[in-house]
Amino acid sequence: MTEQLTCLEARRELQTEPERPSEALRAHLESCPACARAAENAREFESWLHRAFNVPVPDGLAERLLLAQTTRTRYRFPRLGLALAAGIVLALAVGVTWQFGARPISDAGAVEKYVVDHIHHEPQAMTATGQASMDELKSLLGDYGLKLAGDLPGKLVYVKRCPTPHGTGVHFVVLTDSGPVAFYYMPNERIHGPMKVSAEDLAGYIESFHSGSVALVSRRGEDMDAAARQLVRAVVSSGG
Amino acid sequence: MAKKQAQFEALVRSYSSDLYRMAVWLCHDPALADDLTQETFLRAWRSIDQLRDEKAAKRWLITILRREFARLFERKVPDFVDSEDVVLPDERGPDPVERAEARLLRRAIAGLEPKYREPLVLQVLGGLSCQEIADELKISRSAVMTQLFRARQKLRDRLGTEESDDRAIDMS
Repeated sequence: MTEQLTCLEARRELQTEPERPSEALRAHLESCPACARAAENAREFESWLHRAFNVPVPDGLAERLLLAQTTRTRYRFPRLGLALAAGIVLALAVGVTWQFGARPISDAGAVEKYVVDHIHHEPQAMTATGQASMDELKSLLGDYGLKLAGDLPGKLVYVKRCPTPHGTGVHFVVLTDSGPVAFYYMPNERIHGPMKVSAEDLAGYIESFHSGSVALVSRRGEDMDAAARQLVRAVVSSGG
Repeated sequence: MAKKQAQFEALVRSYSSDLYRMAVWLCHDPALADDLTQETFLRAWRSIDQLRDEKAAKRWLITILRREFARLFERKVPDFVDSEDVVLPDERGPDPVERAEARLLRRAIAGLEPKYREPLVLQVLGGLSCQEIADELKISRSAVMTQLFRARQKLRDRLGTEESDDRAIDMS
């Protein structure tokens, strides 16, 4: 036999665990119009609560989580054909990494995707035209052991400390005669040699730089080569 | 390995949104919440062999999230002092009335003391029962029930909703 609730007990349950009504509460609501109205009110309130708690989730969250898992735990090694040889190379790579505390080689495809997603995530960076702060750029570069040792190939229009696959880095954009060029330094991403960045609207490359790598990206169809080379020469290690 | 990877991907696809939202309500900041969610899933990946019961996956992730929060952010994150200062993502829905309502209620939730807010987060976003919340917070079930009751009561009082007025009549 179902336990009988008083109105006070029913109201308490409605305010405590409204989405898991007990048998006793259900039975009470069937026989008590006042509490049934309160239950309707409680349902509406719960609906508000859910809407309020459900703050927007950033686009691509799941993809970024999977990317982080992949880049932290998968290692690239040459295709030697023999599993044994591959195992030895991997063991050596892990051993060297362990010994010197360096990060493993990042998954190239994953880094490229991260760069493209990041630049798409901050579209204002590639359309900015106002002067950004040179002092801020110098300060940020200093935080990562870098400094400016030459002129930029155009006007600095955007500068920000930004997330990278493993930490943070420096993202700045220079507006050159041939369009905006993004410089996105990822201090913890080690890659094998230069690699292309290619998206429907963006083009560029990623290369090893300082302790990690840098992505140099422009809008597709714009010639950024000279500006990109000047940027790479202008940013040097502050240690010498 | 492929099975483990598939299991992990399923966890990410199923629970990352709710875990992120819980992280926002713990950290009070979307950027920190993003970091916390990532650390939670990386730790989950490293110990995924410990997950024996798929039905308990969300609860398992919530426990990791709370531990990671304590480990990584507890000292860095100021508690809500002034709910006007709360940094939460903007609602992007098209209806301005709903946006305003959500903003109002979020501020009220953010203004709750942590002892009232956290059980509510675990119940509404985590989908945990009172007993599960009690186990998670290591307090009694009756204490959880009291906190949930008071949390809702405080929110209703702040918003001036009908039940709050009814309560004065029916439950006095």
